[in-house]
Amino acid sequence: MNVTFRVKILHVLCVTVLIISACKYGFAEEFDRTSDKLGSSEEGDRGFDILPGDEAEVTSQEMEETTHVTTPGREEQTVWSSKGFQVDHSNLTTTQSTYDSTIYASTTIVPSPFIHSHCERLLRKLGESASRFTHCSILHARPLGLCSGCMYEYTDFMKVFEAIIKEKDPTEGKSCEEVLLASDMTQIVVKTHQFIQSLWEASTCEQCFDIGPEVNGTLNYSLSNNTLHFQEMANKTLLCFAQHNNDTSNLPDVCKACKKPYDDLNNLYNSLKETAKLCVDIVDSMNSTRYTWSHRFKCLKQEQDTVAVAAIAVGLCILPVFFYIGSKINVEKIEKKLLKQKRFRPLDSAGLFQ
Amino acid sequence: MSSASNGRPTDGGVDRTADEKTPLLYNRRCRQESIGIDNTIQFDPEEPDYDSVIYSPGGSPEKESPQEKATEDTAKLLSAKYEGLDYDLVENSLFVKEAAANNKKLIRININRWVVMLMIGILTALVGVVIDILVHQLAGLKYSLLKSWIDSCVEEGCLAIPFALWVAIDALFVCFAAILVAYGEPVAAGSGIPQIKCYLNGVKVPHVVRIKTLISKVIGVVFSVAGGLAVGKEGPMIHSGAVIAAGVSQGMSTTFKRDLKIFKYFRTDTEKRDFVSGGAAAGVSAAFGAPVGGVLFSLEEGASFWNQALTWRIFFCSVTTLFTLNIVLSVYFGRPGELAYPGLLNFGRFTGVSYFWYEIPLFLLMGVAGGLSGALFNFVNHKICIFRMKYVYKPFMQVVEAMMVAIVTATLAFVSIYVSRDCKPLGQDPSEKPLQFFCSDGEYSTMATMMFQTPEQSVKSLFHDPPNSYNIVTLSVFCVIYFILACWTYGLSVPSGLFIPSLLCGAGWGRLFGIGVSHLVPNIAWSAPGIYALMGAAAQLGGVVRMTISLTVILMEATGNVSYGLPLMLVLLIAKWVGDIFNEGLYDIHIRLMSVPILGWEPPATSTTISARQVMSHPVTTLQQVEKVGRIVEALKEPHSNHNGFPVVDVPDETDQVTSGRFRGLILRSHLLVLIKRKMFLERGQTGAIRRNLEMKDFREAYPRFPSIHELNISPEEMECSIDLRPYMNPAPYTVSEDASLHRVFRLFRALGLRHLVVVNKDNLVMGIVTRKDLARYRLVSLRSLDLEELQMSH
Repeated sequence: MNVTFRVKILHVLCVTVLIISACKYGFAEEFDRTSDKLGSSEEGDRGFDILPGDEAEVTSQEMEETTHVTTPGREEQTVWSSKGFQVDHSNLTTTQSTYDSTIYASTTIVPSPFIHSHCERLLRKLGESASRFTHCSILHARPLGLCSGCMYEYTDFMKVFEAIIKEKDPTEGKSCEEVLLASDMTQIVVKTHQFIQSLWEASTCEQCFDIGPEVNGTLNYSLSNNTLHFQEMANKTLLCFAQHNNDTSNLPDVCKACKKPYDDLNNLYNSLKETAKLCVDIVDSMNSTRYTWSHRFKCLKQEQDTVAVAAIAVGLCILPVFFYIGSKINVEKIEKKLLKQKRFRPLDSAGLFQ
Repeated sequence: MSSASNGRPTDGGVDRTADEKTPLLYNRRCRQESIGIDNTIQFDPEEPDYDSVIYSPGGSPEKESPQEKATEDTAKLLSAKYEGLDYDLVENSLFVKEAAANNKKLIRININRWVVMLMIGILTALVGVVIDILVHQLAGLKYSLLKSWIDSCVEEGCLAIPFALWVAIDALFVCFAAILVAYGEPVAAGSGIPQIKCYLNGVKVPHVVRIKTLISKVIGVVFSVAGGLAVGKEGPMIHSGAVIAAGVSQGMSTTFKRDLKIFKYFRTDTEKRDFVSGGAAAGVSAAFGAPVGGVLFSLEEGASFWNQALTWRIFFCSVTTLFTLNIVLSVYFGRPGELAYPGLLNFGRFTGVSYFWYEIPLFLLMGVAGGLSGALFNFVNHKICIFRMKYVYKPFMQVVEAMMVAIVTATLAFVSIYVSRDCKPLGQDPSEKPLQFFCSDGEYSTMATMMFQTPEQSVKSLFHDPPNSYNIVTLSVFCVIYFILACWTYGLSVPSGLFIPSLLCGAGWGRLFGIGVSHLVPNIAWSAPGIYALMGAAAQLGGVVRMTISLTVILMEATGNVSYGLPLMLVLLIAKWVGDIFNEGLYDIHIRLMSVPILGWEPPATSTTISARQVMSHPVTTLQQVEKVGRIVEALKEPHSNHNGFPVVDVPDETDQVTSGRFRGLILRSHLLVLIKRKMFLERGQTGAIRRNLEMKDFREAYPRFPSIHELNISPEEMECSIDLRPYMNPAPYTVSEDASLHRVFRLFRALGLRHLVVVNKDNLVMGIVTRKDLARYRLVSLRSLDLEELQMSH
């Protein structure tokens, strides 16, 4: 009891000392930085230009952030992230800081005095583009159209991410990558990026596009001729299906009328498939068309050849029976000669056994 | 003698106990109905000592035979054509001289051992790659041709054409493979593991490590796998590795009459066998991507001659193989340097799927099932093989039989696909060539994915396809068909691995088991059916081949997941125990069918009561220290004493009927042949006609195919000359007292890898000689009983 009390007192003492010292160091540093940031924000923008209309929004937010910076009550976080000399008491300070951050997070995004506004702006953009892509991808999950549907969202996201990797914080000389991607264990940004990229790669979307030359360090996507051609054919088939869909009483009409476009589509798909891997849009659209064709309209023509197959099968399966019977009757058996072994005959020397 | 032979066989020969002449052996419980002890154990001087009784399996012997019932199969015989390997060094004076001179060379020889192992590793991997690529190409060609026909014929109703085409292609491929084996090199048939097991045990199986065998094996296996038989290419890989090892280490090929004049000091049975064990390990490593499993395989099969340095070299060899195979295959599949192709058969990665502790009892249950079905497999295959040996032994009939099996295999595959209506939607294509057959557009037939690809790929599909990929009826039908086919196929005269068919069959019922469990008790979390497929595969394979530690490690390495070690081990353990109740492992059954005098791990349990006197061959042909050429030639020509070692004695006492002179040393047949060929006669020595004395390398030069005595030309005058055997004989070979027990003799033999063991009495007079066959003829009747049986010798 006594001991724990002492320990507690010790802790509290330490923390207060820390806070005091941090106030001295931290604030002085902080002041320098904020002034820097205000000055250099224009400069940082030059290297990066995403969508029109962003500019105004960002600057207005920035103003807001800078006011927040000076808000009192941020001391703990300052201590926590500035120098790292308080390792022993990280427990205490962490809880405190997370407590703080939850309060702030519920209202606005807390501007961290140690992340330069430029990088922070990129982070915000990244979040927006990621959410746009996720939203889009879910909307395009069924029927599957991720590649053609979310192409812009994907390229947007990748552009912002590239920017984070490339650009530098003009004041500190640290790159945004270092500040945003490599400072903690959770690595939210990196994992989100991985998720989006894996979704894109699992859909083999690259195959849908002609990837143009690099412009400003980013790839230029456009739907490839094959894709366009396929889409055109698929639309033709679906249109045909739709036209003949109404007369439910007379299903074979659909089969007759749409056979040509359907076969063309099927052949195109097969030929495309042989040359390369296809992106998921095409595969899925083909699958669903096929499904409609064979299950809904039951247009599939299959001829069985049971008699011939059965006859051959039975004939062939009987062969071994004849073979084995024949071999048993005809073949003379192998005869093995037994060798006589030379063994010691104890009767000659029965005495040995006594 | 005759009174006993007519007597009803009773246990322990009770009706013979009155006979005072009964030797000790009859106090043991010996099975008499299957052996002619009376005819063989007693030597009757009135009869010529070499005689033959016509032995006809299944029928009555032509000559009056004392046997009441002739033995059913060759498993009850030992064949005289198998000889032992000289693992023991001959320490004669030449050897000692050479060893003294070679002191400095020892380091180089040691380095060369590593070099040879490296070469074995690389070459084995390359052979593996060749097999893999050829199978891949041939099967790909075949399946795409058939697929295009089937696709168009489904619409037009001409399915009989692709059917006939399929049957014809398979029959043709298999015919080619069978011709290679039946007319080329019959020893290349089957998986080759039994033969390698014999070789590592110390038996020289004729032709087993020849280059011709390798060629037949490699090309044969490619065609039998591409021909759709229920076979794998893994077992043959092990044999191939062994042949490569034997070839490389010798630096020459007698078949091609090429001698590279390198590695001459490795031209002895001892060195060759060490390298062969490395080659076998490399083969396992190439086949399954399991280097440690390979080392353990060699250890398990040839363990009696083992040392730490050799183990380390073998491991080096098998890792080299793994790495080389990986590199070359990654280049072939267009991803150089990726190292994702560890073996010919890899089970793929089981990532993220694990098992739960409460599933272990279920795995044990599967072990029991595997043991039972493995025992059934072995039983049926044994019967089929006996039939084959009796009636289907002519080469052309063997070829026709192989074609029959191929035809029926293709027929069953086609019909089952034709009948099956189990369709699944084409997602991201599950197999390389999904076959639509009677399924709707955009779907594939699941039966076709199993039948319409090489067995390796089917195994992978069963392990990894998501839970709902297979329907129960499809799987059951597939399992049953495959079990029958595999059972029928093994033992045909085509190179055929046993691993894949067993794994496939087991994976089938294992998956069924998994599906069943999750259906019956849906509330509990079960692991993926792929895990059950893996355990079923292990159980089936374990039940068939009954290997223990090496198989566990091989499977563990092939899955790349150590956490499966425990369930795999348990499953294999149970499967072996259950299977052993009924019969032996399939490899052992085949070794018995080949009548090979193999020595087991342990002497038969009741062997302590049998003495060396009963075991040994008795009047033994001996030579004197300075012997007449005529007498040596006579001894060598004597057809029944085709011993490879002759005791060298002082002048024997003519009156003594029991012993044959005081023991001085042992000389090998091969050395005698070289001596006569080089005409190292004393008389020529005196006249100075001999330019130089023989050295060890002169003996090694003739290795491994020494001339036959009949090929040597010796004039009548030369017959009168004499040879001094003293410098060439081994003056201090192992001997054993006549009172030693069979148990003791066996242990000595097995542990030292002996070929001859001279039996002497207390005065060091030669009583007899014990060879491998003398020991191997004592065998337990079955794994369950303690009864000994005694095997007959035949040609």
